[in-house]
Amino acid sequence: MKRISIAPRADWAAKVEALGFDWHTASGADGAGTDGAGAYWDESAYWQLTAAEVDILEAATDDLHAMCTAATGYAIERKLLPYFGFSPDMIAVVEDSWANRKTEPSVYGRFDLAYTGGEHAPKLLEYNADTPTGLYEASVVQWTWLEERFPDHDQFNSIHEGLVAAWGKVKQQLKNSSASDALHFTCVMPHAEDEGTLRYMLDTALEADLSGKILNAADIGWTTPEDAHPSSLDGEFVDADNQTISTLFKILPWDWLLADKFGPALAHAVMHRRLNVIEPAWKAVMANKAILAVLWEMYPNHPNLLPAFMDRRAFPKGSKVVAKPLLGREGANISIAELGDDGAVVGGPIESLGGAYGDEGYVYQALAPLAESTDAAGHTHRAIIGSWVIDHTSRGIGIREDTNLITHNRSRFVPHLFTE
Amino acid sequence: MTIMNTTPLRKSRSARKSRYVSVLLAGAAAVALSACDDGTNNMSETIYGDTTTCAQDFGSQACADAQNAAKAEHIQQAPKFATKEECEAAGFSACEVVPAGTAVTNADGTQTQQASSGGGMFMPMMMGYMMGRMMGGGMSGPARPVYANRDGYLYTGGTNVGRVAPGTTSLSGSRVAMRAPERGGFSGSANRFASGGGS
Repeated sequence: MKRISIAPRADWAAKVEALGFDWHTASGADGAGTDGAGAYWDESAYWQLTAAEVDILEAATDDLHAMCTAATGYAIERKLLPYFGFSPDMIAVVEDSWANRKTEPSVYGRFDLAYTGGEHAPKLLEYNADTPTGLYEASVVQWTWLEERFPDHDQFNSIHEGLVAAWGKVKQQLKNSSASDALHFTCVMPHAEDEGTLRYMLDTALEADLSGKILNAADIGWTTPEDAHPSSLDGEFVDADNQTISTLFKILPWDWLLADKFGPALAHAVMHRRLNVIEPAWKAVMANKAILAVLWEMYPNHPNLLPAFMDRRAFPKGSKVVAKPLLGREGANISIAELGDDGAVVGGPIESLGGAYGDEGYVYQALAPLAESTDAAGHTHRAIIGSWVIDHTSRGIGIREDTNLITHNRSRFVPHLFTE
Repeated sequence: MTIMNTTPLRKSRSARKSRYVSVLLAGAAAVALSACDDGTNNMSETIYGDTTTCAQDFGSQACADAQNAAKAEHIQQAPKFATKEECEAAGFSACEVVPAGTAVTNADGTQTQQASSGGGMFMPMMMGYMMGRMMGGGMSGPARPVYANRDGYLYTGGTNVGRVAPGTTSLSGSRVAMRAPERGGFSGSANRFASGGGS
């Protein structure tokens, strides 16, 4: 696995915009990318992998998904969810969803892996199993880049085909439960990246002969029958046109939705099978960082796992560990430090990011080396592998880069290819 | 741990640009209300439980005719069951006696005239009828009978066309009498965290 610098296509911005990729530039990026300022999509370099490395990533992804599924069942059965920072309502919805998982559609998730290439085992950093983004750039934008720049090379990427097939399965599941095949797709608006992800998801669903509509989460309505008590939970969610929402794809975390005002109505609707939600609630268990400690307890010393504990005193003196808030997203509130006696931090954090998370608790994970490369300008780029699971199967990767150790929501997306 | 997928699927030369761009340009696609709407004729469909609500859209004579036509089709085409229990077991929310004199098609293709009294057969209750309205305002095609299953899903001709509260046995009065929706109940956390929900 190596990083190769290359001149970007002169008209790269116009080319990716023509694909509908309108969030290619983001203020807050580290300035080491294509335009030296705010590029999120960064084609001033690409990562070249070998077919053997792709095989290693694919196998690790499938194994990790199976392990995370087992760990979710383990955490539910052993009543560990209170340690995940979940509310009692959230736990009830998760348990119900897990019991019903054979009929609840699950479409996608993205592992973040530390991988230094060659025979080294990829290491699980986290599993974005509830609200993953970075999808369209991995599935479509880097593919069109490959077709134009390296048409004779290959890319670990059948994400698009996987999504269409996954939606086909959703269509069948909805048919089996006599539910409408009209879907609603929602996120908080305005938000260029999340809205773009919704448009792409809608498009792949349409390709699978479903129908769908995008709406702002703020426009979701809750209505009750006129002859029921106004606080009755026997109502329904509707869109801006007052059409019933029967299946909702959301880029909103379950813990947010259930904590919000409509949370009790949402819990009632999903537990009474009046509303399907994609991803289903049990995926929030895998998305919670506490799963890292559960995995290490179940599969100690597994080559794809890093030591992880809820109590940092479990680490020997001198360990470098990463503190991750249980419900954190996009690198927020993550810090890296060296531990001394009894888990005490030696000196200050090596690196840390701010944010609004952490009240729910932390998990501590051993620091893993990332793939690194120093370019001609002297920037050292650190890469993590975003490995996509579509319908429970490994389907491709998207690589994120930063000059910092902690990858965050403005870290650059750099395309990849592989050679035999 | 076994490797679940042994077939490499990582390469494809399919048309990856797909319809994404056109969806983007067109804005959000509309939820199709029925399978027969092919998206080209801009037809909207409404389900009516009685003629009063319908009359506001199409006029009372047209609605009475439409309802009668749907009822006639309903009596002829609705699945028939020997007992009410069998009818309900098939998933319908409510079942009724097949009217006396109705010709029932047997499994062998022969027809039996339903007896005038006693020992009658059963069929799902017609919840209402669905009518299409063309872009210009006129009626499109004949009205079709609408049925509800146990979970409140509404069907016509095998196509799901909507949903009401489970256990609803009549759409009379309006499609469903619901309060004006309250909105904004999923915005609190996003405001608190000042971010989208992606990860």
